Amino acid sequence: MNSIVIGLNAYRESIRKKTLIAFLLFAMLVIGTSTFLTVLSPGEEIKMVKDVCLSSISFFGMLIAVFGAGALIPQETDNRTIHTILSKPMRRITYLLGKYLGAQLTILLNLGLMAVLFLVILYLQSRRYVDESQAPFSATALVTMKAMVLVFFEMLVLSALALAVSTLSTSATLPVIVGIFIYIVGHSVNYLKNLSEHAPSEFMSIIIRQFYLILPNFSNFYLRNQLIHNDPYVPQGILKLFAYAFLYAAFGLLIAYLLFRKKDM
Amino acid sequence: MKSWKEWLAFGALALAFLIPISLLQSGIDGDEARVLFLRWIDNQEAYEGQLLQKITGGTDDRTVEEKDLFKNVEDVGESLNSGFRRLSVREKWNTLHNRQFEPFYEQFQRLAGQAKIKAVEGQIEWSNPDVSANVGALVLGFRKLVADLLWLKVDQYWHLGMVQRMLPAMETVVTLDPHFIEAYALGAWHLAYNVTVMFHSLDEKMKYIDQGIHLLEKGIKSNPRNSKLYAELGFTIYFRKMGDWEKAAYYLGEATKYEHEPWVERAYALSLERLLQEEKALAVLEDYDRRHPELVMQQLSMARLRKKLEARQVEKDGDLEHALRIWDFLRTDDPGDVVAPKEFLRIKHLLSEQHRGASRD
Repeated sequence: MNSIVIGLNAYRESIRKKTLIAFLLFAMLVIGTSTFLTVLSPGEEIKMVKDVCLSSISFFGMLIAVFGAGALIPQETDNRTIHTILSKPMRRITYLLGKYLGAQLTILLNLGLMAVLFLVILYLQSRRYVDESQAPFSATALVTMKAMVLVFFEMLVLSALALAVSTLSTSATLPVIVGIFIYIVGHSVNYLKNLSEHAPSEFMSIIIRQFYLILPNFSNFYLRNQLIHNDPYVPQGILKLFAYAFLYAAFGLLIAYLLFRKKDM
Repeated sequence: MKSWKEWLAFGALALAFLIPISLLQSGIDGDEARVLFLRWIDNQEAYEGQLLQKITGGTDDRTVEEKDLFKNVEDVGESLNSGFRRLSVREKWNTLHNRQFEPFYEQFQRLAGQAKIKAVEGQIEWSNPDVSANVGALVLGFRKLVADLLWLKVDQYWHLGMVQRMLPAMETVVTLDPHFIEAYALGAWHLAYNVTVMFHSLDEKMKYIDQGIHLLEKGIKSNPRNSKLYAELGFTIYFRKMGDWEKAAYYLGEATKYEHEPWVERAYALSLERLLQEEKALAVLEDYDRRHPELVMQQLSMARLRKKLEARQVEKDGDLEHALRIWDFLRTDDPGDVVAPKEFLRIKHLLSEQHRGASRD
């Protein structure tokens, strides 16, 4: 219960932050202007809109997740409000879970707003470029929602890891930089898979492969692009991806708790 | 001591998360690899069809291992589910999870690792690990966006007349996004039409047409269930550019197997008509007419096809004069018909032979 109260409070604080509002406005601007690009790509207008919108939602979503989750604890430490909260009879894990919940609500709100604008743009484009082979808009809306859920899964992991780093830091700079770094690593982790297949020895191959398996792999969520482009070859569903995101987020929170539980405030 | 025990407990807890995470990651990778296996099977089925109809010129460039593997997969697939070839992606996916496919799947992975499997593009991380995995990873999940922006660059190169720059850029676009259908379709059209007009030498023209064909074939390998690519290759290249009705009919026929635009069936019927298979063409159009009663284009073609069949019947009955009149009507009625003038001349020739024979008698 305490976690929910802290979460709602963190959410109220976050949505007032100018940085997050600026990111949201930038994202809306990019999504809104994606229609202009269609003029340059005859024949692939809707594809262009989908790619630009989904990429900007993913990118700005990442910034919102990193800034939103990474700045929560350092900000409270800076304002010294953390002392009044932690002096109450409350477990630190409750506090952490509350903060994480608040960050998720902020991310959900932002992703939701971006998704609505994305759908509006898609609807207008689908009316403008009528194609007999295109699926009806209701079907497009459904896959768009699925793709947005995958973006959220990615943010779920990223924000948990950013929160874990933020427990170490007194300013928001470190968790933000590390968060962006994790995002880059998470998207480049397939290098390791490639490397393990070409390793000079069996031993090295196993070691590299184990690293590959435990590092956060955000390219898993790249499936959103296939979904949104109606690639028929997506028979596997997204259940495993949800389990992966959920477990990784829980792991991130475990690290956060480890670092935070005995931190001298 | 307490702290040591605590750390041990946390270590165990961390392992309790990391082990299922790594298992899940293996499962996700396995799914991706199985999807690639599924794509490969679809590709092989399409390729075998081409070999049977001599579309590829009859030369099978697959390795012995690849052919054997496909044969085994098809045999097991048919024994488990009759009509394995015609199954939808979901049904095939479920069938492929049967234990009997396990050794084939492992063999597929081994052969792919040894580069003994050619007929697959699919996910770029897999198909060409030395080059494209790195390109894909470099753009951090914005692969499709980068492909789109590069595609705009291709368009810019075209307007600046920099054809030589267009080609590598187009290759990169489809490497980054193997499912960018319009890049294959528009790219091939550029190569076969706009670029060829810049050259006078027939060899040079053919070089670019071949590159266009190669681009579309590559697209089909990556997207074996996309009708647009088959239709483009069949109609835009083989039908309109090359006048190769046989290949046009094959690819347009393949295009009709998947979700397609209505014109594809009409084009398929037209290519069959050019192959003098009027009965089959009429059957295609009659079926089309039943499903699209609101469209009228096909009714004209059907009327002409019936006339052609009538001409053939009349010819069979020995009334060449009547057949000639029908073909004469057909050639003047539609100057775009390439069959009617030839048939008219053929019948005319037969008639003159007949008259000559009669006068000798």
